[in-house]
Amino acid sequence: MQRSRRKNKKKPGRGSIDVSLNITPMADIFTILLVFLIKTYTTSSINLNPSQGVRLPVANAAESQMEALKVEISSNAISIENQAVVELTDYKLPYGENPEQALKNLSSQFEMARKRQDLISSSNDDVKQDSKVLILSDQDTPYSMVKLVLGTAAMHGYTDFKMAILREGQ
Amino acid sequence: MNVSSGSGGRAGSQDFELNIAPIIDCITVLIAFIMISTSFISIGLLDAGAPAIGTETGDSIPLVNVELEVLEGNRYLIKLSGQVTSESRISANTDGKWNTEELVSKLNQIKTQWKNVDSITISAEDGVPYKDIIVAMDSSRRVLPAVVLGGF
Repeated sequence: MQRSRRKNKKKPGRGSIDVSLNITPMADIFTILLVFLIKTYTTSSINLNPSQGVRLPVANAAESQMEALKVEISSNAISIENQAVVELTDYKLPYGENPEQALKNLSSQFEMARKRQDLISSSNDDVKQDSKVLILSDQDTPYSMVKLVLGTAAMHGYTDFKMAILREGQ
Repeated sequence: MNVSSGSGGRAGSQDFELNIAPIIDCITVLIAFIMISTSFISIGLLDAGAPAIGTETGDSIPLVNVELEVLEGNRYLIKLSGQVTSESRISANTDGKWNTEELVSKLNQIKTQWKNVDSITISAEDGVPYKDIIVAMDSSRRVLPAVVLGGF
């Protein structure tokens, strides 16, 4: 083995091979990849990515993303603006949890969001009171839970529901 | 840029060799950045209103109110109230799935009969999954664009 290594070891100078990597095809691939990525790249200030584990339903929708109060319903929590408000167990209130207390928590969070918006709109003329609410709900959420959230939102003036869906063909 | 002047060949000819290694470096960094920051899923929004306020349907008040109830077992129930009162049921199709084609055709019939009807109130039984309500909303809005969610 050692002998053969010695044999294969080439001395520099006469008979040496100058190996150079041809990076031109790689540059071609990278350029195509870059063009594709730039084409699909969307820059938006609105972050509408659902949390891990939330599978949005699929539908055809014309409207695109917009700024609104973000409410997310997953199998384990109801979140408002990425903050868990009510804990759930398999889309239901956990055993032993007082449903009225959970509703109060949800209601108070909507109230806080409404007050915050009122405060901003009173100090800034450009900002108006908004009744839009963005619902990012898991596709398997039972309607009882969805209507509980929507009903509570409607009680606080959030009556324009925008249901986030995955566009068909994605 | 590495420019080497070829000594071989005809006198005065120049052999340019572009050093693309730094360009590749830049492209690699750019690709990594874009791949991390881009989102490959396209999220859209379906519009719905609350029943008390509803959605704007124009100045004219419709003569009939259309209600769609999404029932468990992949069934629909269309209720008409106002000038006429009627109920029609749509059962699951032969595959046991939602019969959205029949739903759309029934809503088209209603739309043809009462042209100023633009809104529909959708409600569902408690156990119906959200995705099935979205399917109903998506199908209904093709005929009646103003969708109102009810039942709460």
